[in-house]
Amino acid sequence: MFLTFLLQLKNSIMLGCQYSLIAIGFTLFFGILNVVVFCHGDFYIFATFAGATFLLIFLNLLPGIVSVILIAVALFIAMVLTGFLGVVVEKVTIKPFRKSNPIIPILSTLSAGTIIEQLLKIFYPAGSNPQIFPNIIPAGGINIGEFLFGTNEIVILLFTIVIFIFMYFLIKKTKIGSNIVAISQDFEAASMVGINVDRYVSITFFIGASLAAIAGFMNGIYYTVFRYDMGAMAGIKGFSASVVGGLGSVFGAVIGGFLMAFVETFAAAYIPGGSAIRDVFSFVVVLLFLIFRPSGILGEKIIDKV
Amino acid sequence: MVDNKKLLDARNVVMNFGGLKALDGVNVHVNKNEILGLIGPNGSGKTTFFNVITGLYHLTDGEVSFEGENITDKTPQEIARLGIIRTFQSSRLWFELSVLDNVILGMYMREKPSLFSSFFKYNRVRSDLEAKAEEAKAILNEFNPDLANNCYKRAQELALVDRRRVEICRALVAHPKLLLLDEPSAGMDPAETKELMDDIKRVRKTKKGLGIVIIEHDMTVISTVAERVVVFNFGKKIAEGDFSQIRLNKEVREAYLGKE
Amino acid sequence: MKKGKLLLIGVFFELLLLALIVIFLKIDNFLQSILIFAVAVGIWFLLARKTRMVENLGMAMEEKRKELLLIALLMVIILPFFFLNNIYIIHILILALIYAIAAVGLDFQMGSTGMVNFAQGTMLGIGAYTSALLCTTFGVSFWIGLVGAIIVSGIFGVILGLPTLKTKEYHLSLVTIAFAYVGYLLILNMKWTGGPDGIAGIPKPKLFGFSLSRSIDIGGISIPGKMLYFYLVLLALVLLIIVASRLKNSWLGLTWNAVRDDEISAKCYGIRLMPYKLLSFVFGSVFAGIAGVLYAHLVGFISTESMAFSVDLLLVAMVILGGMDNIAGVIVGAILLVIIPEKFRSIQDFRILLYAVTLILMLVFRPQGLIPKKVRVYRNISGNR
Repeated sequence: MFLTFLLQLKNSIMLGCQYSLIAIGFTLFFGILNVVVFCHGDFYIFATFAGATFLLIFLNLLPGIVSVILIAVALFIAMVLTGFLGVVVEKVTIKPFRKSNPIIPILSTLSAGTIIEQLLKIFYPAGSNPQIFPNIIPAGGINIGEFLFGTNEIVILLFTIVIFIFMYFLIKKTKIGSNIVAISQDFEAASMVGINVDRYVSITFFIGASLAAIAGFMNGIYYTVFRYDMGAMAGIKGFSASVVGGLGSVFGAVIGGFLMAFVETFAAAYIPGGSAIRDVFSFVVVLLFLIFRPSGILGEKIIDKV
Repeated sequence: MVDNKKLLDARNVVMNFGGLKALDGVNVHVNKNEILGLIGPNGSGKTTFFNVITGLYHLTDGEVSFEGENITDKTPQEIARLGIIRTFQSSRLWFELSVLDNVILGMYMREKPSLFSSFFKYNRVRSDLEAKAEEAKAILNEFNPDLANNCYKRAQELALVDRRRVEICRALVAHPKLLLLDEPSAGMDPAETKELMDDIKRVRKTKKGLGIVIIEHDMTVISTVAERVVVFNFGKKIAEGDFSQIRLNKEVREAYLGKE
Repeated sequence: MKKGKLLLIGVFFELLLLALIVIFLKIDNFLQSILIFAVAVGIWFLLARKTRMVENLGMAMEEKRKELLLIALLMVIILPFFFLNNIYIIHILILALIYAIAAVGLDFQMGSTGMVNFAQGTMLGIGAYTSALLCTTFGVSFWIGLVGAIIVSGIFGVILGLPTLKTKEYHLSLVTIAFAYVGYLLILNMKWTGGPDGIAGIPKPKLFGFSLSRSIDIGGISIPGKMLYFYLVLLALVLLIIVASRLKNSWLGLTWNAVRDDEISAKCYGIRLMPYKLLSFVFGSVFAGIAGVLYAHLVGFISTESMAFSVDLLLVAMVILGGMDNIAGVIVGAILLVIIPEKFRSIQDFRILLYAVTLILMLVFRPQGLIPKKVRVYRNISGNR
């Protein structure tokens, strides 16, 4: 009984790591430009494909090299590629519409996401089928009694914590971070005091998209099977997590990500017949938040400017 | 107890935003048939005062009554229905609609055919709208014939001055008892400002009992139109009286006029 | 310009459009379809350049509105006669009209009130399932199924619309996305909805004792049942267009636009936001529900496939492509997005990609849509535009 509970807890933490990393991107984008980037989930799945591709290439070309280095290089490449994808998407589908009705960026980013997804499906070899992520992390792990903590799980958890700490320092202690915060608070004022707004928008999109890339890579390592259309759901979950946590708050995104993962995992495990409709529970949580606390757990209350 | 002359009475109004006191216990009243000027430096709480009266902000403390009725907890819609209509500093027209539609929508609160009749008595609905369109065009014509000729232009295509004019027309057709004008002359040149003042005076003559509160930076406007002036500074009322008195008030000169 | 000449110009363009559509649907050679498509695009660009031609056309549409609409309707009525030997094309035409109904409904939210709703396909599914369940489980007729679907989709419209008082823009979109997924997953996983198998054997409607499943003979010509169904759907579309245009041209439409353009201004003129947003959702959902019923009884089978998220997106794309807040535009958008991909079946894999690319190109180069909305015109008021 207690063991299943621990197992579910572990599962939800694994899922929470991914949701949080995606949600941070949403929150950063919303903070700096007041947009919700509906193709963020497709950055995530793009990274899974990119990571898998490069791992396969490395494993074929360089057999025998220490796998940790291979993983690190593949992850790095996936992050950079996805980061640039994020920058390009912003330039093409968000920047032209900065002053227009918010309906427009909703639709343009959604279309951009569909394009990424369809390109993966059409041009990746056998892209419409489920793909297998190369199994690179050795099996086994640490046994605590009957409870097994797998190597891949430990890697994911530790790496996520490192990323969270890195993000904290990036935002609180660096010039990049303080400029991003300044632009988030007042776009016009920031550009007037001489901050190169466009550059920092690009930086933010690079960071946000590469965080999604990390989540996508983890998705590959942990679940090993992936498909071109998994990005949409991941994106919606990440967006939901950022709304639950409070759009605009990075810490809130982390909390929201884990909360969504807990709800989903435990509802699936403990409610009879729940596993088939696990997503329903998380969406109900989102709906409740949107109705009763639209500013989220940590978000500031929204006052209409008159 | 009800004072018949008083149209609006705001007592001890406090408005807090987080730690910031945007309004700190102000008392302002407006009489029927009166034009009240509301002046003060930027950020002194004038627009916030309008937002409180019209119910857009929920005040922290104090009480606002209109024609003897307590309106402190009413919604913006209820307050509008009682007859308080405002314009906005950065004009807030319905930008994708035509000038004509904007003014027609100003008549929203007046009697009109029900939703039911949109289906079954469509001709009546249309003739009602046509009649209202004629009234809208007439009032536009009164303000500026050129504007009336361009009445099918979308509001976003108009120059700033015309936007403000449309806003005033839209407000007037709502048949207000109290009209709140938020910096109507901002961005206008002296000739346009003069026209605007004439318009305001004319409106006052034609609408009996109408009270007007006007926020202004342009002192010529205040000195010509306003019969009484209230001065805000840092969310507090620092002076009240007619313009010639106010001009001589030391505190006001320091806070406001002294800069000039 | 003389009125007679205006009418002539209008009729000419309508005939041109009809000819293009018929030829496009008649040919089944891929290269030829592309050619016709290119010709159509070429004509459109030519029109966009010749301002005088556009002006005349616009004037014709305004001055001779009633006549031109009537002629257009006549043309649509004779349209299926061109395809008597190819029932499949008639099927596609019916689908186009059904999606047009749902898209006109979606426009109440997107165009009139400015709310992006990603759950219109779900509403279509709800209507379809309601009627399908009523007809197969309880054996009631098509008409009772239709009434049931109108009521149920209206109720779901209220449920979807309720959170809109608290949310707007992105949050509102998230509400509709969540609603779409919850609806999809619940229907997919419940027993009484048939789960992943869906519901089969949905009967064809009966009209004055005729079943629309069999063909009938009139004056020696055999009229297929599909064609009768076409007219049933066309009738529904025409009635709903009348409803929609009356709503949009009355106070309701004006008020919706006010809520869309500036909520704060609307509040300060006594407009309560909640009832109007709700009405927009209710009317839109009822339209989708009716479209769903027509769809279910056309295909005879319904599953969650027909309410997948891609359907939601397709409907949104129809509204954007055609022109927000313009009924004619939305209908054109719906018809184009149903008919064109059907002809390009050989590049089926690229279909969704093409949708998305089209949508982005539209947003960048012509955000107002193919047929942009115009300002409301009052008969007795003249003025520059």
